Amino acid sequence: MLHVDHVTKVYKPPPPLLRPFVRTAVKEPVPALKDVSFQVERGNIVGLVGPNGAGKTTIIRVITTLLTATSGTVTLDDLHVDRDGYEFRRRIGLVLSEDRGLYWRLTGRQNLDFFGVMAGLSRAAAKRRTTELMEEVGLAGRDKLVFGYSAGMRTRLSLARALLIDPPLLVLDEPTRSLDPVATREVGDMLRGLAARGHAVLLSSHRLDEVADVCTKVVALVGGAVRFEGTAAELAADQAGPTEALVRLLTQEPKTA
Amino acid sequence: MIAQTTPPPTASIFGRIGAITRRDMTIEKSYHFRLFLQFFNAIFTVATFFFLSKLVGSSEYLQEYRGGYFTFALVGVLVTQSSYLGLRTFSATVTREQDAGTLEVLLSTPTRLPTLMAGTFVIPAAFTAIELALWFSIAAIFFDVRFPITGLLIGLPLLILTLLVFCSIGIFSAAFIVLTKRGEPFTLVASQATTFLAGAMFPVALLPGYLQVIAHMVPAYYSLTGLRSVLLGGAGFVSIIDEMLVLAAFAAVFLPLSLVALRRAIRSARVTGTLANY
Repeated sequence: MLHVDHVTKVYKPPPPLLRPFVRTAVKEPVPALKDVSFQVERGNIVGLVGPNGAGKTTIIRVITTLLTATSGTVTLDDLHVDRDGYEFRRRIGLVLSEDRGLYWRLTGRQNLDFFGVMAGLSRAAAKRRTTELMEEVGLAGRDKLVFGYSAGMRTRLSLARALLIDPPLLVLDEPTRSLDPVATREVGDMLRGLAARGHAVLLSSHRLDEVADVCTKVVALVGGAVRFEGTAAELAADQAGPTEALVRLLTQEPKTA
Repeated sequence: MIAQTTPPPTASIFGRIGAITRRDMTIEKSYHFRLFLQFFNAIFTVATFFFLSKLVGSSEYLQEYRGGYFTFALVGVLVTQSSYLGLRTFSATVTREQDAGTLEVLLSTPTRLPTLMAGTFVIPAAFTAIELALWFSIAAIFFDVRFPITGLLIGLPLLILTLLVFCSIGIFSAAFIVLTKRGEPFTLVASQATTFLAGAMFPVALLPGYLQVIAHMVPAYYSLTGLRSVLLGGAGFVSIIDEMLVLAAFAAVFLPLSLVALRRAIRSARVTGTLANY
């Protein structure tokens, strides 16, 4: 399914000639990903964990064609992220971590109808799917302009948007950040259901308990490099429990050869 | 049940353009007071030109144009409004999507860039057409100024070519905005060149000789010359073929170049990671 192989990303400042016009966050080259490799197979939920600045969002942007890697390859089945961007995008559902990304002067339904067609559905199919998904994410009967939505409702709507085309791969960047515990559990259940139906899910999260609970596999990133890749069962085998095992993985100094 | 591995059938390009149009229409309707104000703006602007034409009188520079300064200026307005439509629509769209945080989401969907561009053009184009119709209706109802229908029909292809040229420059602007986020030089230069050098509001013959030469390099010069000859001079289709060919040449060069520029700008933003910045 999804193969991330030796991906490196170095954020570079623009060339001197363009610097007066193009503003970037870096003045010197900054390595954000260092030789990152992992796989996400069908029916699996892979959790991406790591402290702030570990490179979680960067790798998610590379996978979803929003950022170009400096080196390495990302493939989805036989598709290459750089070469087959259009086909790649037809197979991925994305939930970004930002609270933005929706049209606030449209209702939730209108947002889903619009993005459904942009994702490739006919107008009628988009409307049908919107009705199903509004129900599924608990927004049915609560349709109003998005600027009147709470942060949690916007997250649910983003999740619904990612599911519009029932994509084989679902990529979620901190989807439960603004959700209450009940809604977080509902999202977890929904992801398990999707995985059971054969979807592949890549879930980035700060919440180690959530990752340990929901994910079948965990990839821990620290400083742009993979610190740990293993099954949830391996983490659960730790005497201190899976969450504590993850904390230790993320905070300990890397082993030297 | 196993998740599908083959994506569902793709919506047609027109389906996508329709979805963008419905989105823009719904958003525009939510700012209804702005539409109301545009109506008043049209009345006062047309009236201003009417009374300005009384001041200008029948200048020797306007003798070749039927109807004096008022109709001369109205044709100028037709071209400047069309040029602003082409120049501003795409860069304004990029800025709006960046501000809303929806640019990345749109670019992560399987909708191609030219479709997105075409879709975002529909509502602004419809609004400009309505606005221009309003201006001309006000001129007809309140100031008894009418343009020949045949002239309008003959001038339509010229206006479409004008739009194509200015849309190309507008796409260059959008490419610049993708990289710089704010501030691009194309709109300012092209709109000033249209208003000042091409003779939107006064005949080019008033300009010094060297500026008249430069005026020939401005696309709007050919739009204004052609439209005035069919709308105010009573000329036929054959007489504006030269102007149409020049505008077609501008469009043939600018349009593919501008699309390449926008594609490269987005690719560059994907490398620098600045696609979401605003």
